[in-house]
This record gives sequence, C-alpha cells and structure tokens, in this order.
Amino acid sequence: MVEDEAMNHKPYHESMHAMLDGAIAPVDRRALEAHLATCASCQASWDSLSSVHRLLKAAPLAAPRPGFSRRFEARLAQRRSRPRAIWGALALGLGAVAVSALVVPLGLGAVLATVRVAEQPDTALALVFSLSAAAAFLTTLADALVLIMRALVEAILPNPLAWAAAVLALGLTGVWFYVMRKVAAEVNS
Amino acid sequence: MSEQDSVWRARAGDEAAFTELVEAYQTPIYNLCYRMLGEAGEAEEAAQETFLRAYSQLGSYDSGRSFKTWLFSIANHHCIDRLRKRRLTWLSIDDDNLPPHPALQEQEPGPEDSLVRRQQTEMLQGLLGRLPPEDRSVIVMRYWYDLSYEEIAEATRTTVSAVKSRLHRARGSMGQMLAPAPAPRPAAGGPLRVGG
Repeated sequence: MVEDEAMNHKPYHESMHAMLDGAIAPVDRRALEAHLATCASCQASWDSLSSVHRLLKAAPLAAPRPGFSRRFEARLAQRRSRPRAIWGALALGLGAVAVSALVVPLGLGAVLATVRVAEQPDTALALVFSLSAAAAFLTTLADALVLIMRALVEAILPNPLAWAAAVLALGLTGVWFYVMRKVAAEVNS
Repeated sequence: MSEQDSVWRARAGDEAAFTELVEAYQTPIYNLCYRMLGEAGEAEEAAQETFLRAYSQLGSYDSGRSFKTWLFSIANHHCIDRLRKRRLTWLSIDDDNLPPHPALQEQEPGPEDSLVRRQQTEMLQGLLGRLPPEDRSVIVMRYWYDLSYEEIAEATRTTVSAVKSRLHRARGSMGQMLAPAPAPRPAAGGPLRVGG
C-alpha cells in the first residue's frame, strides 16, 4: 500500500528535480503544481529540495590565497629538480658498484695467484730474494713475474665466478653510461 | 590569446603559457577541491597537484574536448583518491567543525551578514561532507559551474543517467539532512518557484 503510494509519487519527484534543473516541460510543471496543491508529503519534499537548491545557488566560489600561480611555479621547479637529484645519486651509486665489480675479479685473481706462488717454495724464495736484492736477481724476478702472470690467467680463465663478475661489471658499466647520458640530457633540457 | 593557443604553447614546452592557464583556472579548481575536501590547506594541496598533473599529462589532452572539463576530471579524481585515502587512514575531518574559508570571509560586507553567511557556509560544507564523494562532485559541478549533465558525465567518466541519478540522490539526501524529521503539514498550494 505504502509502496504503491510511493510509486504514484515518484514521477512528481522526478518532475521536482527537472524543475530545479530548469528542464521541465510545461505540461509536467502544471501537473506538479496541481499535485503539490493536494499532497502535503510531496509539498514537504519540494520545500526541502528547493531549500537545498537555494542554499547551493547562493554559495560563493571559494578562492585560493593570493600567489597561487607563483606557488605552482615553485612546485613545478621543485618537481623537476627531484628526478635530476635521483638520477645523479643513482649514477654515483652505480658508478661505485661498477668500479667495485671491476676491482673484485682482479683482486680475486691476485689473491689466487699469490696462493699459487706461496705453494711453490722455490719461486717464493726466489721472489723473496729478488725483493731483498732486486738488482742481483732481476732475471729471477722476471721469471717470478712471468709465473705470477701465468698463475693469474690460469686462475681467472677457468673460474666461472670470475667470468660472471666480469660480465656483471661490463653490464653495470653499460648502465652507468646510459644513466650518465640521461643525466646529461636532463641537465641540458 | 585564446585558451587553445595557451594550451598549444604549453604543450610545446612554454611554461609561461601554462601559468596563464593556471591563473585562469585557479579559482574554479581550488573551489572544486575545497568543496570536495572541506579544508582550505588540503584544497590548496589538491589544486596544486591537479595543475602539476595536468602539466605532465598535457600530451594526452585531446584538444577536441573542453580543457575546463579535462581539468575538472583530473581534480575530481584526485580529490576522490584523497578522500578514499583519508577514509583508509582514519583521518576524516569533523564535518560539523569545518573551518570557514578565509577567502569567503573577506568577501562578506557586514558583521551580521558575515555571521549568516559563515553559518551557511559551514552548514553547506557539513552537508556536502556527508555525501559520498561521487555524489558530492556531481553537486559541485552542477551548482558551482553550471555544467550540463553531459559535461559532468565527461568529467566524472560516467554516464548521463548515472549523473542524473547521483544528482537526484544527493539533493534528496541533503534535503533530508536539512530537515531530518519533516512534520507533515497542509499543502501550501502556492505557485511553484525556484531560487530566491
């Protein structure tokens, strides 16, 4: 019963909104006026809706504080400098990593070579003697250096870890160059 | 210099041209943010962010569409995102105690009028604050900017029927909030008038 009544009034509610939006047909307007004259419930709804409408219509436009566009320009400049700082830090970090990655395999090879040399007492002794009397044992020293170089090569070539480190270093160096180009482009823009 | 000229120059990297657009739209965008968020400081943040986003997305702006509607769309979605985050972090504002906006106070002529208008502003913000964000944005675009249903649908990325439905629902809810328990009264039967 109540639902039926609500359904009967629904078209008038639609007309009320159309009226407020200035989109009501004259025939619907006359029908609404006639209905409101006899329906207290719809009249109350109309009063309520038109109060809201008047309140909204009377509301002024809120304005920002003076200097809005200057604050915008400052924010835009700040927003632009942020990527540069990030790229710069990234470039430095990656550069450091790339250099470390280059140094690590060399250091590793040197340690392994030293161990190999230490395992050969004659050469080690020769090395010690050649160091203490460099002028007298130049030839032995040269032999020892050749031996060291050979040991270094032998240690690095079959070692997959050293290869992986070298490839990683190469990759990181490539990334570093790419980042530096981006930074240069940012600075020049 | 037309708006489209400024847009084209801004798209070509002319910052001064974009500043012209900021100056032209700062008040409408700020007002939209203020009506959506209900707080002056947050409205400033949201309006600034709207222009920053617009600047970075200028390349995707379709010049066949209204620039104003495009800006409103960015502002509206940013405000709705802020409101959702606010709800998630339990930082909702107390709708009954919204601070009156300083710019509104400055426009007021006398102390009595000032008091009335301040009360109206607070009441209005209180009512808006109780609406779902999607309904609130439709009300703001309809009443403060007189946008058509189609323009609101474009700015809110929805359909015209959804806009009408939200507008009707929002107005009805605000009416109920204004008069929570309307007492039945005899029909007035007077002429049908709007406004005043």
